[in-house]
Amino acid sequence: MRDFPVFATRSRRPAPLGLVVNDEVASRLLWVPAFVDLCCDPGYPGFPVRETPESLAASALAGGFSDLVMSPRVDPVVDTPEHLSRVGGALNGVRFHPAAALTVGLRGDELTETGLLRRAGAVVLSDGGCPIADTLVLRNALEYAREFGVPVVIRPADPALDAVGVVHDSPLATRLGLRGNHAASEEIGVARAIALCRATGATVHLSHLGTARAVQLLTAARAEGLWISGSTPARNLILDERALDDGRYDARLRVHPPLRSREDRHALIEAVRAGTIWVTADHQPRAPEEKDHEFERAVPGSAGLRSAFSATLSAVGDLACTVAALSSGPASLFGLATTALALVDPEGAFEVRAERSLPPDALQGHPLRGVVHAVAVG
Amino acid sequence: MTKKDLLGLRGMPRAEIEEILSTAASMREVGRRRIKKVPTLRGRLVVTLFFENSTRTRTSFELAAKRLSADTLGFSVSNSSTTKGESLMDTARNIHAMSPDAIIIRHSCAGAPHLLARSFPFSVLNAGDGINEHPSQALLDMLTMRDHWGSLEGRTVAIVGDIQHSRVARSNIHGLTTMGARVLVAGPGTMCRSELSGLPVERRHTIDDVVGEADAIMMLRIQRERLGRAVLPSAREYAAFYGLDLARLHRARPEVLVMHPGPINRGVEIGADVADGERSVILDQVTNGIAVRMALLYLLLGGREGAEDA
Repeated sequence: MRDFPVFATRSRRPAPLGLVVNDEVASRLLWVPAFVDLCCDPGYPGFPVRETPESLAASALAGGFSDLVMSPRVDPVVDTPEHLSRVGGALNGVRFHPAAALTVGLRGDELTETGLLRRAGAVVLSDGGCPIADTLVLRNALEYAREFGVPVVIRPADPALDAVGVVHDSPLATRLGLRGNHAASEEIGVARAIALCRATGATVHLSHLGTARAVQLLTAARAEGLWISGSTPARNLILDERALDDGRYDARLRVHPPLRSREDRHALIEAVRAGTIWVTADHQPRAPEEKDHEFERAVPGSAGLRSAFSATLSAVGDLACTVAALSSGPASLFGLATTALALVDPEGAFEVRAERSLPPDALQGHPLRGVVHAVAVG
Repeated sequence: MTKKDLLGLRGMPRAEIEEILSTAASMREVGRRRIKKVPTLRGRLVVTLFFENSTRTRTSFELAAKRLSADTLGFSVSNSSTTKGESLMDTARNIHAMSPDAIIIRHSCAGAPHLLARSFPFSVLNAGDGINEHPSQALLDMLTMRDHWGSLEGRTVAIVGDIQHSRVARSNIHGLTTMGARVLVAGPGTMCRSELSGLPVERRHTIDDVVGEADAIMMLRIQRERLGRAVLPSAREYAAFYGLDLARLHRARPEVLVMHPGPINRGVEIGADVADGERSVILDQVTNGIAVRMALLYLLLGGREGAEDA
């Protein structure tokens, strides 16, 4: 064992990290650009039981993330410039970039003050994972955002179909006796967003993609030259609905949108490899008591920051692709310049362990590959 | 049986189902005595925990426990008290403090009994979890068929109605196919969706598509209050295409058994003259329900040991 002689980024003086690893691990360590998450939904302010800024920064650094785009879906919703400072800021070197709500209260009817929000530091507008039912409102929101040059993050779903079901609608759901959420919901949402992106010329990002057909539609739209991008939660590259087949009704696997089919998962992996979509941590921490329920009653969501890199690398198998999907891709959406670096061991074995002090992660217990050892922030 | 719990028939081995059915057949004898009670489970505590209204399943389980001399405790949880905020796990912790030997649970969420079973040492019997399973109902249905046929092997059972949202159908499908029977299902497209390919059934459409082939026809109750938006146009439309009336019964095999888990909607899924007719075994199902539930409590609570103690 020896101290690893680590140097921080160019802008800083060399400093030891205090990292002690053996020679074999040391020979594998690499500095890569630190990761950027587009859809961080930690639930604070408003839900202190889930996460605090300190625990969020700790999870980010443990997972190799230096920059997080913070969802407006907190209590109260971040829909005015005055609210932005409540979620923005920096802590322990991690930067929290506020996303502003696309509509007032995320209710899907009134536009927020896009210009003022932009000026106050909102990096993107977001529907906060709540699909806008009224297509005219969505079109107007995109028209309006375009003129201020603000990208819009949308979770594509048909609002009526989205409200139904707790797992992927499939023969397996039928076997388990759980109500299904149909993949058509996401396909309709993607098709609608693409049509409106084309019609308005806005910059659109589709988050939480989970289906093969969504990837197909997005690929075609990008080939057409539309300003549209997409991302999938990292866990979707490792887990699919078959994780539920053990009949345990494990509430840690309750996420929304739900884990889809094996075919969908394979299509997502291919799309990440091809650079068509990026990857998010989809960090939605839940307190253990929010998960200690019947599957249908458990609050959907899972932690993701600590496992996103390992999950992506394990599924994609290529470090360059993984880093592009987690770092340069997401950073490009809102023109983020970052010099932060993450020190990773791409070969090291990794497993998310269940710890009472950490919010549950759907990937707990899955053997993964790729360890983050440190983050040097610029 | 060495298991602690009865959660469902999915994946239950054939030998176990046979053991339950044989034990149930022998339990029936107790109900024919003048003193309908044996001391087998004396001093054991059986708690019924029903989060959904049910009279017949609950009383059937309670009667079964009483005939085995167990103490019973009905823990009534109306929907309002769960909305007051107590979680299922907290309710179960409270009951656990009373040292029960078994909990019989009915709950609107699939997997609720599974959660209790892996969290507590007492036996958990699933009396219906959401749209997932209702194993004791399927076992009593199979006992009823076995009484008439001897074996279920090679028989064809048609289940008609809301297959998608029926826990009775799911448990029957798993149990019947394990026992070697063939299961046909029929119902409206909204209740019999293509995702049923996840179950070992042959999917048809109207009752006319199955009535001629079946050795038993199981009609499911239409629970309109449970359905979502735009699932079913009307009761008369349902009766016209999916209901079992006398004319259709005449096209069935002469020895066919007509079954229904109850309570029935006369004139909707089943004609009154069919429900009360000679092919109907609906009331036999009720009698067999007590025997099956006695067998389950006996097997799960280690009735043999209890009997020796007595």
